[in-house]
Amino acid sequence: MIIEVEGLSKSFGGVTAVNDVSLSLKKREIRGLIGPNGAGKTTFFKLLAGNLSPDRGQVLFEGEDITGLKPYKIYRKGIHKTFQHLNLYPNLTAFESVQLALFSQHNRRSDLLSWAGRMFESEVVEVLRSVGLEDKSEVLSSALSHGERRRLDLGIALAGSPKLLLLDEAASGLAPEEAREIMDLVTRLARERDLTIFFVEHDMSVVFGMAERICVLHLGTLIAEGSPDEIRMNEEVKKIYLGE
Amino acid sequence: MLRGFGTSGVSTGKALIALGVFLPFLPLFIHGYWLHLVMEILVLSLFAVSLNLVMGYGGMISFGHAGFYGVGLYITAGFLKNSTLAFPAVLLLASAGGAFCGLIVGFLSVRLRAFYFAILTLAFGQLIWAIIFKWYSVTGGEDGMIGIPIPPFLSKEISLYFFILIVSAACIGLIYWIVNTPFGRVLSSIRENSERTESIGVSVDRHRLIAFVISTFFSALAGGLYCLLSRSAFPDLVEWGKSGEVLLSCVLGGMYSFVGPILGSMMMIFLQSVVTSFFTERWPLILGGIFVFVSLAVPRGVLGTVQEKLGGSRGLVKGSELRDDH
Repeated sequence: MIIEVEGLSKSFGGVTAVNDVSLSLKKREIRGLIGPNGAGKTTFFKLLAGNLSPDRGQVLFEGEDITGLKPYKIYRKGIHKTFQHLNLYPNLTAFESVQLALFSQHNRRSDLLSWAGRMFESEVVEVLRSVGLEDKSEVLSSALSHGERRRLDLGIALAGSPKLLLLDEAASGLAPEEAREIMDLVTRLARERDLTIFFVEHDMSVVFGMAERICVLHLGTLIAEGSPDEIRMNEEVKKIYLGE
Repeated sequence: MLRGFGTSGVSTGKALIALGVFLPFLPLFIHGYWLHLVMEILVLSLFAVSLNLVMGYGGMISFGHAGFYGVGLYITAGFLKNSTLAFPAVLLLASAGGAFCGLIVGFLSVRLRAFYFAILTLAFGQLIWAIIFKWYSVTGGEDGMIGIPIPPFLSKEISLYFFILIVSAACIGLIYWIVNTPFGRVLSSIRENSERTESIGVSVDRHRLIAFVISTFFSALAGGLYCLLSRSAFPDLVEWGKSGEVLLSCVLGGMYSFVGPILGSMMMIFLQSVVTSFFTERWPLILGGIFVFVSLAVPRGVLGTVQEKLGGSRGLVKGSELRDDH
């Protein structure tokens, strides 16, 4: 198991966003997380990445307790995350954005002696190529198209060999074609690099086409877990989620 | 590609080098009062550039930097007057003293954002002022310290000029280097989007603290240099008005470019000298007027506005133009 979640809970005021969720992912697994709006998917991912700290429960990553650690510490363990709402650097170029992640990855964040310039150029170019942005390296993030920004977001998360990639609607706002393209890309990269992927996605055809296993959240509670076929047949899921 | 200085054909590096080539010859043309003004500009430039490291690059608006400047000023004055400590050691001690205060203030402030950070730094700056103002036996309180003996090799105007030029140019060069290191890039990225930067493995508060300490080190050094120039120290120079003046120099010249604060310092000192020579008591009024004018008319500073005209329009905050690769 690469990550094991045990009894994770989080409330905001009187509202329980995530309620006693336990699950675990095997190394190299591609796992989908679905649920209707407000099911707590984003909150759950934020708990894993340290953007929020849980009220109860435990998260083990490679056997180590990482519950409640700050986001930067969790990143350094190898859990990288993309954002549901694009969260880029509008005034940095694609090159510079990816380079930042590599400064961090190579422990050069506080390097006061080297000229940043084109540092780690070959690695940056490699990352940009892997997400199909090699021609856009000198373009400001704010001047990229929506699809390209999604790719850059993915590129920043991919820079510096993550072990577990949390994708919070990495294809949100894209046309179905483009969404599928991005998710295919993710699947291919995951295979090439032995990544474990945990993703939230709205487009059901993408989820069922890509995930090896699927978890279903409803009102903060994990109501089902299984292979795409099992989830498709699950009565409870049909009832509350697919609206049947 | 759109890139601040690149587009207008004047890179930061070139502008700095041009200044560095020109300034050593200045004493051939001017002396006395005018050379003194240039020295004041040099000192204020160093102060403004070091403030801008946290403000323009780090996105932390400090309203208390005069406090650190004051620590440098008073340590220099005190040791020159009352000890036989070697002169370079005095300056180093002054800078280190400022950085130490910066470490304490920064430790307590960097976790706060925007407005709260500004208010807290203002409060700490005023606290330093109050200590200096009240500690009569050491600082002379309201009377300040006058007749500070400066080292004999600096007693000639020309040698003092070169000393101030070399030290401030070297420090400004160092800060220019710092903003172009990975540390500096990460600092700008925190200003741009601190949430994302934290989620790529950067301890945002620690990074901000380091920047703050570096900034206060150089601010205190600027205070020490000013002591050589004025041969005196007064609590007025530590008060929040001074913090506002240096902050305004950054904003006036353009805080989103490296040379902006230098340009702003030139404008500030010249304006001040012109205004005070005509109506002595009206400077604060004029200063306030400039503040209003800049905020309304050129919110991106003179240099920022010029760049915008030359390089096409981009968003208000421009990360890439904070440095250049040439």
